[in-house]
Order: sequence, then C-alpha cells, then structure tokens
Amino acid sequence: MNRRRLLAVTILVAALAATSCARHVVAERALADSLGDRDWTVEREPVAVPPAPQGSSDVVERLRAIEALHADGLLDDAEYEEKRREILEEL
Amino acid sequence: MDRSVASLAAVLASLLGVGCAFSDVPLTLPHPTDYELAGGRQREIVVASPFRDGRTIQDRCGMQKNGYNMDTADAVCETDPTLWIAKVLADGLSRAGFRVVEESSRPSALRTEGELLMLFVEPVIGFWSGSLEADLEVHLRLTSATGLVAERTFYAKGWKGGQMFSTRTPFQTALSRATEKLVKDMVSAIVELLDRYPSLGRAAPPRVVVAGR
Repeated sequence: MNRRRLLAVTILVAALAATSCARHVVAERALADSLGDRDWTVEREPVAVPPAPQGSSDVVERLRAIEALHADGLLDDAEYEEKRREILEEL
Repeated sequence: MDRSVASLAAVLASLLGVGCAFSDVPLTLPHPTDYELAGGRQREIVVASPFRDGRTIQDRCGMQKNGYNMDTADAVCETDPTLWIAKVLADGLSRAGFRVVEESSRPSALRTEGELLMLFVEPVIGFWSGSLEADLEVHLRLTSATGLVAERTFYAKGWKGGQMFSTRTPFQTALSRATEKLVKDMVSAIVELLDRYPSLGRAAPPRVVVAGR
C-alpha cells in the first residue's frame, strides 16, 4: 500500500515538473513592432546658412592672422594698419 | 522503506532541478552586420561616444530564471553597453553611407548624442510556454551648429523561443534581434530627418580658384 502511495506521489510530482518545463517547447515568435516614438520632436529647426562669398573666408582668416601677429607684437601699429588696409581692399 | 524514501527524494530533487539555472549568463554585446541600410549619401555626422547610461538597472544586463519564474542568476554584459550602443549606431550609419567622424568644424554637420535607457534580457515564463525577450531602449538627441535640436526615443524587442533557457545561445539570439531592429530604426529615422533638412551634413561646395588672381 505504501509503495502504491509513493508511486502515485512520484507520478504527480513528475507531471508537475513536466508542466514547469513545457516552456521549452514554444513556437518562434515574430519580432515585436517598435514601441518608441513615432516621429522626431524637433525643438528647433536649422537655419539656412548662405554660401560665403568667393574669397571672403580668406579675408577673414588673413585679418585674424594679422590681428594675432599684432597682438603678439610681431607687427607694429603701422604695419598692422597697412596690412589690414591691403586685405580689405581686396573685397 | 528507507531506500524507497531516499530514491523518491532523489527523483524529486532531479525533477525540480530541471527548471533551475543558477549560473550567471555572460552576454557578448552583438554587432549585427546582416542588414541593408542606405540613404547616407556621404553626409557628415558625429556620433558622441559613449552614450549616457540612463538604465534603471545598471549592474546587470538581464536575468536568468527558474521554471517557477524566479530570478536565479544574472545576465552580465561582457563589455560596456554605453560604448557598445554608440559603436553599433556609428557602424549602422557608415553602412548606410554616412561619413561618420569624431568631430567636425562644419556648421552643417550633425551631432548625435544618445542615452541608453534599457538593455535587459530575460526569460518570460508562461504556464505552457516561454520565451527569451531582449528589450532595448535608446533616446537620441541630434543637433547642428546651424540650430537643429531634435529628439526621439527608440524601442526594440527581440524574441527567441523554443530553446532551453539554461544555455547562453537564446539570450544572444534575442539580443541580436533586438539590436538589429534598433539600429535599423535609428538609422532610417536619421536619414528621414536629414532628408527634411537637405543642408544638414552636406559638404561645402568646392571653392573655385581662378589662376592669376
């Protein structure tokens, strides 16, 4: 009698364990759809940058260069003014 | 009788142990390459790396569970996920034809900053079935020196079912699928945003030098 009860309990536990393992036999599912934002939140739009006039960036760079030389003492005031005038005349 | 009880205990222990997994799962963060993207058209873009780490759970990248849906072990990322996600996006943009640079002095260049909000892989146990699920969530903020400020959150889920969850493979598969979906979504969205503002990311026209001047 006791052996029968033991057998019954063993079968019951085996069935429960098999149920817990049934998760291993599942069909492949498709990938989920994206759940993120549907669109961008644009807080600020870019401004259009007009194309620089031909040669103007060179002028700016050269003005900055002589300004730096002047600040470092490599050009005196007269030389700086002369160079500056020459560069601006090119515009 | 004693032998019967001992045998029964052994059977019970082995049966109950089937659904348990006590070992940590190491996760190799994937770099998916099996996808097609386009639309970059050599536009210049900066991807700031690493992304910020906005994950609620930062000490692990997922969990292992037993058959009773109980957390029994960690899934641990082998590399820094904030560096990884920035690299995955940069690679995706390159594959789509963007010119990805570290820094740019061009006012039209687009700068991308991101925040990793979620990276978690775990078994989802049902009564009769289960699956491995990977969740990825990233927030992107795109700016340009010309004034653009745009933000968007991306979410992707990768599934893998029909496997024993005590092995590493289904964790990797679920994460790879989520990553591929996420990078496709992010790159496609960036292409779409830049197409709205054609000046963004474009190289300046070459300057014409006239001889003798």
